[in-house]
Amino acid sequence: MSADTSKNFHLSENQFTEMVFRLQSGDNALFKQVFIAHSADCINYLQVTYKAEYDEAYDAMLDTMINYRQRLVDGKVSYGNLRFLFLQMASQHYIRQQTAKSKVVSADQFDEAEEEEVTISDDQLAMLGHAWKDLGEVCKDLLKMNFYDGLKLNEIAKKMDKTDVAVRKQKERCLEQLKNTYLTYKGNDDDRF
Amino acid sequence: MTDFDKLIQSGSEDQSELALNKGIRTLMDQQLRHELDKELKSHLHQAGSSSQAVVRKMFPIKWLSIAASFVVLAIATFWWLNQAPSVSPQQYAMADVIKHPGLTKGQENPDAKRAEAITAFNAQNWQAAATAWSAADLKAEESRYYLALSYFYAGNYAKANTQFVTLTSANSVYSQEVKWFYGLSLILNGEKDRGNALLATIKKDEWHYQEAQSLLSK
Repeated sequence: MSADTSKNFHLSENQFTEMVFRLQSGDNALFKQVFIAHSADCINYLQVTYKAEYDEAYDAMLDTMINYRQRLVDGKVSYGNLRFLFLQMASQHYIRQQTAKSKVVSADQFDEAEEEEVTISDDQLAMLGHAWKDLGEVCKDLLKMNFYDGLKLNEIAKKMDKTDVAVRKQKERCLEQLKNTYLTYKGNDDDRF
Repeated sequence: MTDFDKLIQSGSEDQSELALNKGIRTLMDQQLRHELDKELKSHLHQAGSSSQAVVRKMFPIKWLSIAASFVVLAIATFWWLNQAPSVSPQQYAMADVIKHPGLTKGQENPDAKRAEAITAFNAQNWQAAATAWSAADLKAEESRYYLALSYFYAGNYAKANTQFVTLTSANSVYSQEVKWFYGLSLILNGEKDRGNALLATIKKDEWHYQEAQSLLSK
């Protein structure tokens, strides 16, 4: 049992399930506590294995944490060897960063899935951030639960004590409002210098 | 890859939702990254400060670094004194410290938050000004403009840029000022090409045309 927990950030299987449940409820506290406690270990691993600079290892580790959270929320991580997965992902992030720096992508490094992603520029993200701030709290909670915490609409309906249909309609209204506010901030491209 | 705006404006609800889903997740990830960064730095700093042995080993290196800094400083001063006068973006950044006139161009809407923000801004208390303008009505151009300037003068160019980008309408009453300050802010944030491209849009009869040309000619 102790051997298992040492490979799993000293979490028992029940504690791991609790951490995932809390993440899906929008509570990051336990996740942060666990991963911050193991951050130095990860940076050290990248520095020793890849002779990485501290700042580069730190960035790769931060990106890994964000990615790991998403995988946990999506139920794509199972209990077993959480530490190994963390270090493997950190290695991939680090290697990807270095590859991106060289700006040369060979055929075997080409990632088709990445090419199909939605691209958002810093400017677009900044304006979306403004539109997001203007959105009402109920809409923010609903969209965050659905898109970020990975909850389905029927699960959200239960939490909000509403019917599935009501939540679906509300989600549509929230998205419409967010889109319109974004477009208002963005204005007409022809009007810009 | 598919552009965010293209999906948003496609007219399809599914495409629009796909884009907003990605956008919201990116915003949330950014926020979490910021929180983690803050907590990690504090955690790693505490862990680092407890290893005294490393600090002692570093002692001679520290003095060598100081000595080397003096040499570099002396060489830099000698070089600088022998240069033709020129102004860097950093110098330009603090050359125009704008004062809020107290009244908005074309409107009068005094309220407590705005008054607090103007007071802090004119006192050049940039952090307090940024906090106060953030709490003001950000739908108003004026609030976003002065919030951007507060971040800019505080040296927080990344945050300044997230405000400046919402002020790039040619019809804005601040359009000339924004071209100059946003251009500088981009350069100072390491985005030289974008900054120069913006400075190049300043017309002959517009504010700071000469200064922009001077920066572009470097």
